[in-house]
Amino acid sequence: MIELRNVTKKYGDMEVVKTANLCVEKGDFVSVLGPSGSGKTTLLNIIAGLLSPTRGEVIVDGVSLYGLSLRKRAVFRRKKFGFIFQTFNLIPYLTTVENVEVPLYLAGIYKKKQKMIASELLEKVGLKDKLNRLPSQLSVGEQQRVAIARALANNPQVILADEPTGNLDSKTGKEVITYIRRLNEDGGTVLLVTHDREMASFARREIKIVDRRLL
Amino acid sequence: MKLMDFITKEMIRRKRGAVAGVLCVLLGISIFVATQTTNKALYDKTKEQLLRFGANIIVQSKGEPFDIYSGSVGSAALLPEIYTQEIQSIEHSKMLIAISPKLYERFKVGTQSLLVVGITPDERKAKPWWLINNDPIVNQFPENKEVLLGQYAARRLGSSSHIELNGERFAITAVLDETGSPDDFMAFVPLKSLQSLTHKQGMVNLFEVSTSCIACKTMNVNEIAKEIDKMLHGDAQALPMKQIAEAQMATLTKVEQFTRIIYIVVLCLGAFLLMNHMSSSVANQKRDIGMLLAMGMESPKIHRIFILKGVILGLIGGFAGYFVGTGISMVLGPQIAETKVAPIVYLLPYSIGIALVIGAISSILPARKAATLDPIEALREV
Ligand SMILES: Nc1ncnc2c1ncn2[C@@H]1O[C@H](COP(=O)(O)OP(=O)(O)OP(=O)(O)O)[C@@H](O)[C@H]1O
Ligand SMILES: [Mg+2]
Repeated sequence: MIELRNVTKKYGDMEVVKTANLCVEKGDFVSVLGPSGSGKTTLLNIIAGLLSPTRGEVIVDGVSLYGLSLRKRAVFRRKKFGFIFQTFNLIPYLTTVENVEVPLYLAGIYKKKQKMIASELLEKVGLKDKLNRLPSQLSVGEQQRVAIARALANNPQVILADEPTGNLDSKTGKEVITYIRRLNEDGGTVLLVTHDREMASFARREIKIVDRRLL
Repeated sequence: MKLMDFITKEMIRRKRGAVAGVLCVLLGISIFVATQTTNKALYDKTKEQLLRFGANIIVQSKGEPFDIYSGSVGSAALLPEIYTQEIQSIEHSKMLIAISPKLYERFKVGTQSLLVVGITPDERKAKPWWLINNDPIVNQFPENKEVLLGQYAARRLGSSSHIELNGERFAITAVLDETGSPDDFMAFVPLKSLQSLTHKQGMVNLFEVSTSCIACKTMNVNEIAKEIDKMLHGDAQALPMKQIAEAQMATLTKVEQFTRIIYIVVLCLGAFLLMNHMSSSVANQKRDIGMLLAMGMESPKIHRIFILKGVILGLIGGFAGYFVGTGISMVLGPQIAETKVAPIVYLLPYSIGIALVIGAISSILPARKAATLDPIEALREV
């Protein structure tokens, strides 16, 4: 479902990603493990269609991502992918439920249904009683659960998670990774990048970055 | 969620920012409305004077005449009161209804500045429209140590049975009904009293000469003025009131031009401040914008959010600015222009229109900046 063919990314003379080849099948849970600065975020951004590679191709469901126009790529992105970031990136002036409604709004779903789906998702991540809180009124663990609910809102085929537990203590981190694991068990495809060996081990398949190459 | 929610929820939940944005627009619009409203009041007042005093003549010093419009006494030159006789001796003296010599002086009464006019009994003939409780004046005309107050002068001074001028007590005989002229803001005492109070015995600032209405038809008021001029000595001149009023209108046009420059500058300043405000708002929301772009929001939508935000801030600022500006001119107007100030309703759509344009223009650049953000750059910033 996701295929990287000889993807290379250079910043000036520095090769951050070196001829990466990767295949993620539908329903898989792949973790990419590498130390800080090894190019994990760069790789994920390339897969997400946010950062064009210097060379190589990214193919998602048979479509070459960077062959699409910017606008089409935006539409493609919101249909296929759900994002979870290390720094959650919730919209600070929107409540929990409104944050989850954003991707639903972008998908053109009408208001009432947005609310319904968002509330259901938040119930799933255990935030049923905090629907109308602002992000600043939530603990970091709760914020990341909102981010997960938001990533799931569109029923995306792939969840792209960048260090989703990096800002959490190990207990909440494990809770969050368990949610992600459950997602995969329910049939979702997950690509996780992390520097945390323990978190990486939750995946079905582990890939390491050594010397800027995928192993 | 809908597109508007990104704007309204942000404004509601970050009120301080929204208020700051609104204030930028409000500043310009309120100055615009206040100057326009005050100018119109001044214009109306002058026009009415022009009509009311249409056929009259003023005899005043050639040197530095007393400015009857501003009422500033300063170093205005004086004329001897006995010029009354010279004026009286013109060929067509039948045409003269009244010659009222006048002396002006400003006094501090309590905290208020009061323009006091010394008048003679002839004033009653010159001002047939002076009424007290809708009746003509009978015995309330001020005599020695008495004062007659204009409507607003009385209101400003508050209720009392007397006022003190330079430590001398003047009993208030009555308060004039509103006349819609500068008289409303003045106080009237006998000429002799004011002359002795100010040590200007036998002197006046000017003579108001009222001509009969027959004169208006059979002979031009300018001709009577010329006749008076002939009788006067070199130090004084007779001016038909109309001429003065026209000169006043010209001054008014200059004032208008000046205030126009002021409000245009303030409006531009407001637009600049709003643009700054919007730019910093975009900078502060960089991560949020980056996230929206990453989630697949198209950049034209981001663009629209920020333009709309500017327009809404402008709309609120314009609406509120109209009322603030009207309020300012109604409070300050009577003190500056010595006339009543009425709200101008048609300025409301103008205010809102201008504010909308300011809001839209000020947000063009910030909105473009937001729409062209690179999501990766935006998300990397912490
Ligand atoms: N826009 C850029 N210009 C130049 N160099 C960049 C740019 N973005 C990233 N880099 C460099 O690319 C390398 C990989 O960065 P990346 O953010 O992908 O690392 P990472 O593996 O995600 O690290 P971390 O675990 O700390 O998040 C780093 O050395 C970084 O300095
Ligand atoms: Mg990273």
